[in-house]
Amino acid sequence: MLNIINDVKELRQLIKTKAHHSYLQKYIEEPFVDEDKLLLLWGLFNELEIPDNERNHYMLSTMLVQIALDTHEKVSNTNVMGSPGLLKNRQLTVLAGDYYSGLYYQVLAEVGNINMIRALSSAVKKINDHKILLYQYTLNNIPDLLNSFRAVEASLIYKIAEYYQKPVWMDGAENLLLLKRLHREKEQYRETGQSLLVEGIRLILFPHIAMEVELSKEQLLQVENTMDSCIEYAIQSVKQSKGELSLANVELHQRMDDMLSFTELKVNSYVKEG
Amino acid sequence: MKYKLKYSFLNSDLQLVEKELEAAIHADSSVLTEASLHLLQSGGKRIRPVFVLLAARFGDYDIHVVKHVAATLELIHTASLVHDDVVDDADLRRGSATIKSKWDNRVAMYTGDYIFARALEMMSEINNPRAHQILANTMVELCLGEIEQIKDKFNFEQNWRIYFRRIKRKTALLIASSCQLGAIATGADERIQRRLFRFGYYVGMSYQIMDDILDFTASEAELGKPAGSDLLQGNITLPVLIAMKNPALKEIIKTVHEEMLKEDMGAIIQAIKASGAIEQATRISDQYLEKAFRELEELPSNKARKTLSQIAQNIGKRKF
Repeated sequence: MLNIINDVKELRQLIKTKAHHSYLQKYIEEPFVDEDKLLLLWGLFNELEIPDNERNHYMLSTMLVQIALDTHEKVSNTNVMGSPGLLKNRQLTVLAGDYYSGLYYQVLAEVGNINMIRALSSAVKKINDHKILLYQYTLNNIPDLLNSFRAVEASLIYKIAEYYQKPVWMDGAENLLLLKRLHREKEQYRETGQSLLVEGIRLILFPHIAMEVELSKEQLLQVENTMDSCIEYAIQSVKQSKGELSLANVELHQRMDDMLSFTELKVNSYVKEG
Repeated sequence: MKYKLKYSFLNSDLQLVEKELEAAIHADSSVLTEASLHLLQSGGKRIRPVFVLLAARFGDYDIHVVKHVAATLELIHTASLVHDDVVDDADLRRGSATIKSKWDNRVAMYTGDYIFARALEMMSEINNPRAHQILANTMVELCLGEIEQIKDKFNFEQNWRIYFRRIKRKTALLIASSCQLGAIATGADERIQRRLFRFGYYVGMSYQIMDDILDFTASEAELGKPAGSDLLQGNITLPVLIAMKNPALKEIIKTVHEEMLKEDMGAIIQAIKASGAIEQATRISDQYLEKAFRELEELPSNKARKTLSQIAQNIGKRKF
C-alpha cells in the first residue's frame, strides 16, 4: 500500500526539482503543480502493479506536460513591445513551456515506454484542439461546450487510464476535473465579468447577438442559470464517479469529499448571494 | 530551389513525407488545421527530412518507416518556428503573415503545442527507445539554446565558447539528430550513425555561422529584414565577437541598443565589415564544412553520400 501524504509530497518535490531552471525562475513564476491532478494520478497508479520507480517516472512526466500546458496559458495577447521587462517575461514563458515539454518527453524516453509517449502526446493534441474550439467560440451546443472543457482538463489522466484499461478512472478524472474547471470559470466570471464558459453559453443561447452588445437582464439570467445547471450536472457526475471508484486510501477518499463539499458550498453561497 | 535538383531522386519519397505532414495536422478545429497548414505550406526547404532520408540510405532503407522520422523532424522544426514568432513578436515569416500575426499569440501557442504533440505521436511509430532518447535530448537542448540566447542578449563580455554552445544547441543538434535518426531508423551500423551525427553537427555549425555572417553581408531584400538585425536585437554572433577583439571597435559595438538610429547602426555594421571579422568568420564556417566533408569520406560511397556532400557545398556557397 502506498502512503499518499508522503508520496505526494515526494512527487511534488521531484517535479519541482526536475522543472527547476535557475534563469527561468529568476524572471517567470515557479511552475504550478496542480495537486488535484497529482492526487488523481496517484489514485490511478495506486491500483496498478507497476514498480515504484517506473510509476514515479510516469507521474512526473504527466505533471511536466501539465505544467508545460499551464505555462503556455500564461502567454497573453497584450502588446508588450514598449516594456522590456514584460517582453522578456513573455519570451521566457514561451520557452519555459517548450522546455517542460521537452523534459516530459525526455523522462518517458529514458523509461523507454513508447506506448506511453503515444498516449500522452495524443492527449496533448486533443487538449490543444479543444482549447482552440473553446477560445474561438466555435461550439454550438452545451454538451459540446462541456465536452471541450472536459477534454482540456482531463485528457492527460484519461489517456493514461485508458492505456491501463481503467474506465472508472477515465470517468472519475473527467467528472472531477470538469467540476473544478466550471467552478473556476464561475469564480472568474464573478471577479472579472469574463469567462470562457459564460461567453460560450451566451453565444450558444444568443448566437445572433454580437459579443459587444449588452444582454438584457432576462437574457443574462438565462446565461447564468445555464451555467449553474452545468455545475449541478457536474456535481451529480462526480457523486456517481465517487461511488464507482474503489479508493483504497482513506486520505484520497477524504480529499475527494472535501473537493466536492467545497464546490457545493461555493455553489450554495453563490445562490444565497443571488 | 537549388537543393531540389541535388536530391531529385528523393522526390517521390519526399512527397510521401509531405502527405504525412498534411495528414498529421488535421484537427477538429478548422482554425488549428488552417493555422498549421498555413506554415507547413509556406515554402520551407524541408532540409531536415532530406537529411533523414539521405542518412537512412546507409541502412536497410524502408520509406514507410523512415517517413515517420522525417515528418517528425519537420513538425518539431515547424512547431518551434510558430513559438519563435511569438518570442520575436514577428509578423512575417518566409514573406507570409505569421500565425501570431494572422490570428494571435494564443492561437500560435496552441498551434505550436498541437504540432509538437503530433510530432511525438508520429515518432511513436518508431519502436526504438534510443531514437526517442536522442530526439528528446535534442529538444531539451534546443530549448536551452533559445533560453541562453535571451540570457546572453547584449552581453558583450560573453566568450566564444558560449556562442558555439548556443549555436550547437539552437541549430546544429537538430540537423545532427536528423542524420543520426535517419540512420538509426534503418538499422545502419553504429559507426555510421555516429559519423552521420558528426556530419550533421558540423554542417549545422557551418550553416548557423554563415547565417550570422549573412546578417551583415546580405541585403535587406535578401534577408527580409534590415541588415544587422541580430546585433540590433542584442544577439552577439561570431562576426561581432571577432570584431570585438579590437578594443576600440568593442567600445563602439557596446553602444548598440534596440532603439539605435539606422544611420548609427549602419556605421557600426560597416566598421564590423571593414575589420576583417566577416572573412575570419567565413574561414571558421569553412573549417566546419571541411570537417563535415572528412566525415563523409569515411562513409560508404553511394548516391546519398554524394548528395550530402553537394548539400554541404551549397551551404558553404549560399549568399542568403
